[in-house]
Amino acid sequence: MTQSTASDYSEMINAVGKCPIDLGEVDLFGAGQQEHWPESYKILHEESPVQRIPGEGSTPDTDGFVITKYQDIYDIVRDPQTFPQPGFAGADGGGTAGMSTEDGEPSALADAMALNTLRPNLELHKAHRIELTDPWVGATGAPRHRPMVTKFVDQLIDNWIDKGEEIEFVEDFAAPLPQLVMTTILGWPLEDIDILRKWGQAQVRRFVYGKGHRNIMSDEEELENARDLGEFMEYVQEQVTRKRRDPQEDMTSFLTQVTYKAMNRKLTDNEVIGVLFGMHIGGLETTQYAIAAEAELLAQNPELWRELKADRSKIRFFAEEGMRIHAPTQGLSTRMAAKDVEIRGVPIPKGSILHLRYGAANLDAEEFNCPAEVDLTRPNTGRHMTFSQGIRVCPGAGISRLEQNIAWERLVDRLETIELAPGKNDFRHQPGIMLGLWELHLQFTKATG
Amino acid sequence: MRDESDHLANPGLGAPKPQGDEQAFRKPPPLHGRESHIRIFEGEPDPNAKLYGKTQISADGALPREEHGPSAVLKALDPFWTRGIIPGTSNGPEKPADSQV
Ligand code: HEM
Repeated sequence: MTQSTASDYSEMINAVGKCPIDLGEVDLFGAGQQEHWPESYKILHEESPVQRIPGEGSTPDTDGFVITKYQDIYDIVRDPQTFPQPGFAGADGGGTAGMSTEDGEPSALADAMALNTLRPNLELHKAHRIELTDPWVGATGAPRHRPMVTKFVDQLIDNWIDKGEEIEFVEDFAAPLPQLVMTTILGWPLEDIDILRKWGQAQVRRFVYGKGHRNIMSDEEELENARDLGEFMEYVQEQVTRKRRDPQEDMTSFLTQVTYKAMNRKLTDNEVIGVLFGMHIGGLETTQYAIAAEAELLAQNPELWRELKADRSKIRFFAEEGMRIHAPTQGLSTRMAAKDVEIRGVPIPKGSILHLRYGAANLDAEEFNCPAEVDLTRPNTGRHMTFSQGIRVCPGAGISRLEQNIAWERLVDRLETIELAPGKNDFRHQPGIMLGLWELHLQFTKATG
Repeated sequence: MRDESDHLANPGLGAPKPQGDEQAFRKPPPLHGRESHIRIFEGEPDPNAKLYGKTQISADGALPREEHGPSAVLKALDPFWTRGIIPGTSNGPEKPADSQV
């Protein structure tokens, strides 16, 4: 996300938050606090692993709760019956709480899934993944994109490797790579990348500039955003119409042609657009943030860089450790308690909203020894929560891992060293519930031979 | 920042229930031998427990009818991304410029 949008967010962007020293000072959603999340998580783990946010549940008389322990989040995401995805905006939004099920009865279980015609229940949720997204971006389908991803990685490196010895890594590599890869997978014209990037930013705006755990924006912001998204929807509709008429080897064409076995029919335009919307929003900034955070780790740790240069088979463990320590999706997901529950002795009444802090789960010392350290031999490194787990686990994990791995394979091959450019980095991150570096200035030397 | 003066007891939510008076609950299975910290009080079984929304499985391969245009699509998006705020409805601001609806 760039820093220029029509609304003025400069105050939010420039805010400097105080590092908390005790629980009273912990406020994960406070301005500038993203720079102190690891310290906040440590305090929360020790003193308040289930932290109540009064009045911020699904209705004005219910509460929100921030959940930070690995095991609690693990249990929650693996029980979608008890902890469904909330399908409503929360107290202020009115929303769809209490929506009815197929036979018209209101049900606490009528969660976000009910609104999605392609996967209104758990069984269809699975079919959706297996039939519609896995073949393109999941662990089974992603590997066939290796040549395409490698080509883009090399092109991006070619753009700067002979021009000097310094780059701004976010703009010069981490941001354009996922944009090129996803646009190609979707089969949309690469010349549209600039406008697609703008729309991509509108898609994630709520998660960057929205307030609190429910990511609330003002009416004006919602309106401005809805306009951008409306334009994007028209664009995606045009792509769908074009591909229905003239299908090619790409995901948009596939979705317009496929017979979805689970429903014994093809997909409607809106359904196709819904899947594509998820691919576009999910596939860009998340991977960008991961690659940028990994570059920061390597630039700060020359020993680690040398270790990867000496043994490429360690790259995949490095990428997992990078995603564990600096999860792009720190606080992306929420769940609702569909039943009365109790977590660590804290009563959580039905209707409460749970804000899941994946970034904190990944730094839970009870699950990961010395959690802040990059350890390429960790036995459980791939078990981090960055992609979530359970039925809603990120469907794009396969392509994102592929991009990260190929990025480091090629960068490690083509560069001899990378270091932080002295005096140029402030290591500041975007506001919101994700964790993304604004910029990262690096110096490099080219590999010889 | 919320009032955390007596956070450990989670004010307003009542003290932990006395031992003898416990409601029936179930727990998720242990993780690497560690007991779960979650208790789920089932309460009355929900008659709609398995059913979330309207399935649109087709008997004859025909597609369901749907509205078109950006506003209709925005409404159809998964609330995971929109947090359930739908422009052009009672829970969102006015709908965006939309030539087709
Ligand atoms: C490092 C990169 C990424 C991270 C950390 C990430 C993480 C996540 C997380 C945590 C969720 C929420 C799951 C839940 O609530 O349980 C999610 C959902 C999702 N992600 Fe990713 N993701 C990444 C890349 C991608 C890519 C590359 C794509 C597309 C190609 C993608 C598409 C999606 C979609 C469509 C969803 C919604 C899933 C649903 O509604 O069931 N993500 N992702």
